[in-house]
Amino acid sequence: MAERGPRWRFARMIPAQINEDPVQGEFFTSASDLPERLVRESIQNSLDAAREVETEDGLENEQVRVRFAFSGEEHALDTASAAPYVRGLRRHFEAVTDEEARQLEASSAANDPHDQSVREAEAVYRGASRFEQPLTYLLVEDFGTRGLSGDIRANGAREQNNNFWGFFRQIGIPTKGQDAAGSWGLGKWVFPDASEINSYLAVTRREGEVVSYMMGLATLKTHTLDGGKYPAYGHFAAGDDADDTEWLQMPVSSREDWQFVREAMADFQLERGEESGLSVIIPWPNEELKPSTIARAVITQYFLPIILGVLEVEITHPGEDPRVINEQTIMTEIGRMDERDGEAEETRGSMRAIVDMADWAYEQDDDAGHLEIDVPTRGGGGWPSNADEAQLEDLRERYNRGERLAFILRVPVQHKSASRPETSFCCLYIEKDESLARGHDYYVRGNLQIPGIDTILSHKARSLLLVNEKSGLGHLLRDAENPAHTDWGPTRDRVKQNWRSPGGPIEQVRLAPRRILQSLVDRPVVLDKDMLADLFPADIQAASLQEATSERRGDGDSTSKPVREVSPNSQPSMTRLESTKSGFRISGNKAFTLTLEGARLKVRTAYALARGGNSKAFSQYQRGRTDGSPDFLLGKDVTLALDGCQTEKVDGNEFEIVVESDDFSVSVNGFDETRDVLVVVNPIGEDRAGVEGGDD
Amino acid sequence: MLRRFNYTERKPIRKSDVVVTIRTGRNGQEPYFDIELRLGSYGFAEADPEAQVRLEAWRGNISERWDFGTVSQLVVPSEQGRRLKEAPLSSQFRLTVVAGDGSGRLLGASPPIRPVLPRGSLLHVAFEDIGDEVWRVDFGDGDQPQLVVNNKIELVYDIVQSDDRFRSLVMPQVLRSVLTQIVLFEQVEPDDDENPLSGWFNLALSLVPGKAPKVADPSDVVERERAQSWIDSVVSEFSTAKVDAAGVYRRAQGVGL
Repeated sequence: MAERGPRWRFARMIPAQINEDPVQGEFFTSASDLPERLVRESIQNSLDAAREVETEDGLENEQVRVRFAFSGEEHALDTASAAPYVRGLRRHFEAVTDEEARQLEASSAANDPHDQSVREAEAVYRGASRFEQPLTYLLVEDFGTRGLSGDIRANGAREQNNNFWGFFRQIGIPTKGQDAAGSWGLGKWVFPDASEINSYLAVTRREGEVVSYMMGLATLKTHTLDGGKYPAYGHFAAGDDADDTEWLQMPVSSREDWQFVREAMADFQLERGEESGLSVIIPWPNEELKPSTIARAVITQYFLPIILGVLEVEITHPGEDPRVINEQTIMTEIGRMDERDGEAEETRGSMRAIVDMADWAYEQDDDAGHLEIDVPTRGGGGWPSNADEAQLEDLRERYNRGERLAFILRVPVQHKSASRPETSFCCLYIEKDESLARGHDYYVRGNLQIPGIDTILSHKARSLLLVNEKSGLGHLLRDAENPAHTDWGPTRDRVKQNWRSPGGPIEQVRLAPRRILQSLVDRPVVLDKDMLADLFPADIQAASLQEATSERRGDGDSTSKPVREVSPNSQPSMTRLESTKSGFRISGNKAFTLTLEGARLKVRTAYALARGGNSKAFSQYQRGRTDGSPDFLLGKDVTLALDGCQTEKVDGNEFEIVVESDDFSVSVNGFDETRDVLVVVNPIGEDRAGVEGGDD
Repeated sequence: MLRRFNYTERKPIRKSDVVVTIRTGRNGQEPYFDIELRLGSYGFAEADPEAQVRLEAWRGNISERWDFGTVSQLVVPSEQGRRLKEAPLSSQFRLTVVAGDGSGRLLGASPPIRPVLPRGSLLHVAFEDIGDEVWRVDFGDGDQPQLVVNNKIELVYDIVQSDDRFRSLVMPQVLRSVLTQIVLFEQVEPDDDENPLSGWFNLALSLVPGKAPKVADPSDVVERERAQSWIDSVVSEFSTAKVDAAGVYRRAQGVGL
């Protein structure tokens, strides 16, 4: 017959049951990021459980308040007062301690303080010693939340959306919907991790109910006790006479054991009262958990929901001033924040800067303030793929001036259940900060900062990438998150199961800050193939070198220039052409040794063209005449004055004359003085080549 | 007899005072032109300080025009603004100086100018981020050496292209590096015309006629010294003939380099 009343209970294993120790983390040992994990997981669960309220804009989440309350020594429970809450646990814990001692004795590493088994043994011994001491605790309570909803009796293989079942009765089986921040079903293991006896108690009151439930979970190791073998997991639950094989752990209900629950709530100083939500009691919290480390973890990981007014965190300890971290106080609390070596992104200065940037980001108008960029989903795609060089140059200038830049990234993602990809969005904000030794990049999915991604270390810049957790991309990245929610990777099983071609979007979004910074900071790599052709010409041929060499050697006269051969029989031109104010004058050339009398000359004129040769100028005149708008007409717009010659023909832009005297002249005037005039004078009936002496 | 009469007293601008050089567009962009203008001797600025300077390019019916400001204040468009977006590479160019009074009267014009077309260069220039180095010669996989210049340096394109001080200090050493690599390390046959590096021998021999050395045995001190001496003489001639290295440096010293 089992003891009556609430107590810890481990169900004896049946012979066929597999032996298993927890593998969720380093069992019983501390890890330096415990405050971060505790804050990340607990607040994430609380934000996922936010109550909804009707507003003018529809349903909205209430602000969530999370309270971390340390008992300190002042409010610790003495061993007598603590006894009801550890009843049944101690003897199992001591059985584990005995097992550890036996194993350590047989181990060759017993004297190696760094050996995992030694460290575990020390942690177990330390935990066992706690039962003799006053029960200090850390209380993590949330408000504005729904509590652990779901059927408390349900215990199927899968219990979708049953948070009570998810919190107490499963390992690694997700119960939350796609929009939730947490999804691995492992987050709650941080609570036993946080306790030196690897256990926690929890009190929940569900929205719309008047009853509170209390239950607990211990995560030890498989152990033997009184000849029986017990699993690692045991529960603090309501007393139950059922045999171990039939037993289902049920919470202590305030309806059935009101006094016990009320006293527990008073002993651990819960503020829950009748408000829905969850209160987790971490007995003998790990020494890494202090108000300062909790505050630091809250600020660094949840600055975004805090400045949005979505989250408020209160941290109390009897020996310290309380801290309230909300949108009004966050800058002050950053000033009180501890800094840790090697965490440049999380110094007070860095946090002030990113909070300021996030504040600014939320003030930007979606349409006007952001540049939309298509994210290439295949490697090698140019970044930004749809921004031209002029836009990039503008962005470079703004970036170098220290302006903040805002981008909306369009990312195609396709769930396997969808027939085509959907275009999803995320926002990216970038600013230059020369004071940084290395770049700081912050990634936030929903409310959760993903701290393990560092892609802009080589840039003196700050970036903030925000992903809507309810978007397709948000769902993809949720599947891509590791259990600790610190990074996104394309190889997670759920990514492969749920998404088509997920690698490109995940990687490109991860690298988006770096890619954009590279296009802003780094001048594009440019290859110029002929810039130095004047110094290093490629067209020097070996053959020409022979000639050049010969010339230099004196084989030829390299300074001589080609001289135009002059025929001994050549004659000067028979006529002279001179410019007048608005035309020209043709006369006989005194140097011409033959008489011109009887010579017949044909004269053609046209306006010269700025571009194009002389023949084109004459052709253009003819086109104008054909079109009925000639540039001029000789004998009309342009006058002819003859002396010592007669005209035989005047037609448009040409005329013919017969020379009667060697002193003849023809004056042609009336051309447009702003234009150049071309004049061709040719003898008629003689060989042209013989009479064209030159075109001075 | 053909004559052309200029009634506007337009001044002919000599071709030698307008040198247009076409440059291959970087990374596949349209070609652009560089221009050297020497208009000081024509007295345009004294006659009409507001006279507009324009460059035209045409081929067939296709033409483009670029404005260069006024004769008293020339404004050369940016490289982007000097791209040949319409006119083909075979275009002719013409520089005009147009009265600033809006009449359109030509104060000066050049005859059609054939631009200097891009010549292939033995040495391509890659502008990349190379940290705190200014330049380096990259011999890559032995195909052709490449001059890599730090693209984080302001105005680096202009510096490489036309800064005499940079060129006089850097280019001789670039040539020395390349010839040393080719002659002493890769031991390229000078007479092997098929070798992609043979152009470097042609360039060297255009500077120092004769015969390029061949290093058959790198451990042979005499061969190496002879090759080194040849390289020195080529670089020396290059420094004098191509970049006037010492002269530029001395002049720069005078203005406080």
